[in-house]
Amino acid sequence: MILKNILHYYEMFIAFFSISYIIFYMILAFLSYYAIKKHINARYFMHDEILAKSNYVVGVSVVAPAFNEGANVVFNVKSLLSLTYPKFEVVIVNDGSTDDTLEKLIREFEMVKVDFFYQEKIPTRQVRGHYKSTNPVYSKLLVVDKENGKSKADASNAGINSSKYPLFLCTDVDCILKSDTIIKLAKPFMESKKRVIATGAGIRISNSCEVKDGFLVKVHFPSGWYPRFQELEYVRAFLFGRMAWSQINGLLLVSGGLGMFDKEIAVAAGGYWHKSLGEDMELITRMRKYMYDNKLPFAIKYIPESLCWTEVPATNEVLIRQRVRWARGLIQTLNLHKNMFFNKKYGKTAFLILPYFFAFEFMVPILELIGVIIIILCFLFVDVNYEFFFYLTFLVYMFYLTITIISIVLDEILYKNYANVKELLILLVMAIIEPFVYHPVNVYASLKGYWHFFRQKEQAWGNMQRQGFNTVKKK
Amino acid sequence: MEVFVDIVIHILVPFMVLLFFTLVAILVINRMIFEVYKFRIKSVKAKIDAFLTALVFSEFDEEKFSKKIKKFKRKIPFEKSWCKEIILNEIINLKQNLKGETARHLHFIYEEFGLFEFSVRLLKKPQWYVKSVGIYHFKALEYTKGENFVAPYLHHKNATLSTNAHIALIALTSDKLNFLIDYPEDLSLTSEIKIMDILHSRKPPMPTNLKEWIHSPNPSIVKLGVKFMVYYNFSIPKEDVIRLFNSESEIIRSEVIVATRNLYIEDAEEILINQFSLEEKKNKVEILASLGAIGAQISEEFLSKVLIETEDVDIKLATVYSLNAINENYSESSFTDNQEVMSMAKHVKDPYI
Repeated sequence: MILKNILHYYEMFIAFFSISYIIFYMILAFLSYYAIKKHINARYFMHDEILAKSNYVVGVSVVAPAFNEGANVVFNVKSLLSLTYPKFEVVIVNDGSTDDTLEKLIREFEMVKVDFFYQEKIPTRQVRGHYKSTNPVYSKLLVVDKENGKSKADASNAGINSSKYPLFLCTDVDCILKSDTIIKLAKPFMESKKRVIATGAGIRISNSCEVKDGFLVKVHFPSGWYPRFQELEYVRAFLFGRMAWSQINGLLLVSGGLGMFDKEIAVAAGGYWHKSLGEDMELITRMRKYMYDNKLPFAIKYIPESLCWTEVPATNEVLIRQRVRWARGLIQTLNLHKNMFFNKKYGKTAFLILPYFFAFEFMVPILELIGVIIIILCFLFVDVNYEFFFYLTFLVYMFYLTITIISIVLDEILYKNYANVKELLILLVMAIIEPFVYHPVNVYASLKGYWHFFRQKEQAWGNMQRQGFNTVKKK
Repeated sequence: MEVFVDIVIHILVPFMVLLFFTLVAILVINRMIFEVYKFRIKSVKAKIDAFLTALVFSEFDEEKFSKKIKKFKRKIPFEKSWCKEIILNEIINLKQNLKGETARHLHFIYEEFGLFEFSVRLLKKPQWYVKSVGIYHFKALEYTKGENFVAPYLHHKNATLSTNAHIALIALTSDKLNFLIDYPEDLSLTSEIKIMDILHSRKPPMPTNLKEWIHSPNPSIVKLGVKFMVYYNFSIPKEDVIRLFNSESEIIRSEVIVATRNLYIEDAEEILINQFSLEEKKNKVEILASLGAIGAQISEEFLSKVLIETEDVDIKLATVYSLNAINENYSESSFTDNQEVMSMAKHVKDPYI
């Protein structure tokens, strides 16, 4: 009798949870479509080439931390220096690399140590020095050398402290940015009536792309299984989820790989938290909190265009390590800002965004595990309506597939990122098998991340073993 | 419960399956159509590029041009909108890269292709963003005959369309830009950038009512007026500087502070010094930069006082920059016992920073 009651209430809870989930996603689909349409309609309002040559634009500092990037750092810095924008600098932070990252930068860019007046507006590990080039060609480059702080956040903060412009773009030194990235990300800061405090854009996978001297020569569809699944994940997350949240000014995450921020607000909010494992989400949450606390209207915008290519984990081990880190970052951020939940001072962040992240991001892996256990127990001990079970499971599966394919259709109609029908069909096959092959790995990694959080396991730089790009050989 | 089971099995599941396969079909068919059209569009584009380049650089003769265009229109699927758009984009592209007589021939080509009618048709569509495309054609081509077609949208209820119309009119009108004083909305920084871009490329005569702009009730127009004054090197009278410094709008005050240094208004030195204590940090930093540009002895004394009194490091650093601009040796000789100021002076003087 007790077991039956428990099962009844569990059923009710799951039914309510699932319906809410489905409704949320349907709303997100409409919002995403509307946001993308609005973006496309606005394309004739401001042409990028006008911004590219104007003296009136807002200055941008590109901050890129580097830790043991000696192999590619020179090419990557050249790629960053070649971005198109009339007023920008590139701030490379050498986070106590143990390889020859700093030496290579000094040698290649003819750098000397300068008498830089460093203001530690955000506390960081000790900064050992600043380097500028003696060659005017590289006058936009500033290298900050600091002690290793065991986190990307600490290195980014040192870069923000050293930057001179009111906006900063945070990226990873190995990310390949499209040449008009700064223009696209800075534009909302200059055209919105509300104060824009952060902008982000789509990130794509560079694993199989051809790269020459830090520049993307040709985009290729990923060849490995894991990168392909992640391609699917990125399309869904960036084009579907984030565009929808952007439409209602509800973005809680601007990727660490590509995000532009209002420096004044980011510094006032305390910069990146060096102990965070999800420093990008944590910073946005804190910036939102700061704006609410000071009763300042704000907006966080997202651009439905792919502006950055990054290498993603290609092996099981590296993927799990990355996802453990993300999951731990999520729970850490939600825990840190638990006082914001349902506090009317924080508006939609308190009543919609944070509860959404708690219920549909944090709770889902836990509920999935409980669900699997209960299903097994029911099969063993309770009389189950197998036909209904099958149809209900199939319905959930079809719902997931539909959401995924809407993202692919949107991406295809807008950008035609894929070379041919074959690549689209491969993506479709990936979507069909994702719940059986890839999703369980993610759930496992998330649960492991939560476990690490509760056990307070020591953290380190989210360093990823890179496989390198398909380099184009010089003729 | 049975009803629910029934709904799931007989309605929801078939609906989701149908939706899924419909989306798959859309995805695949859309791509296949694209694949077919891709090569067609590519080959038409190549033909258009080659034709227009040859035409533009050939000797201009109205009759010959007209005949060639007529003949060429029969070789391409001109009735398709995408084809017209390719031609238009190519003409706009040429317009942006060519100057002088050759560029003027592009208007003739635009008309002979019948693209003027195409742009007007876009303006007649109900959607504001389609109208904006038509306006964009006139603006990008600097097609002055389009002026009368753009003017009705100056006061359109859609703010973006209205802004687009105003900006296009700046590029099209042969009159002075006096009409801008009546612009009712806030201007974003991007709109200002667009206006200033046209100003730099077209170099129109100075609006005769520019003095009145800085009396406008719309802060955006006051700000733009100050920017225009800097562009036309029109010195702002001292009493206007004082009046604008009393403005409630921080952006107006900021613009005037910047203008004092760009126009090198030496008379403003004392006003800037008096204004300093009344401003927030951002404008304080701007005042310091202006004093560095136009200041003399009084500023030097004022700046050294600021350096002693202020706790804010950003303001201190801006002060050292200004002091250095007025008197290169001042900080070093007067603040030898102040380690922080000495470090700032080193930073300011470093040739590579």
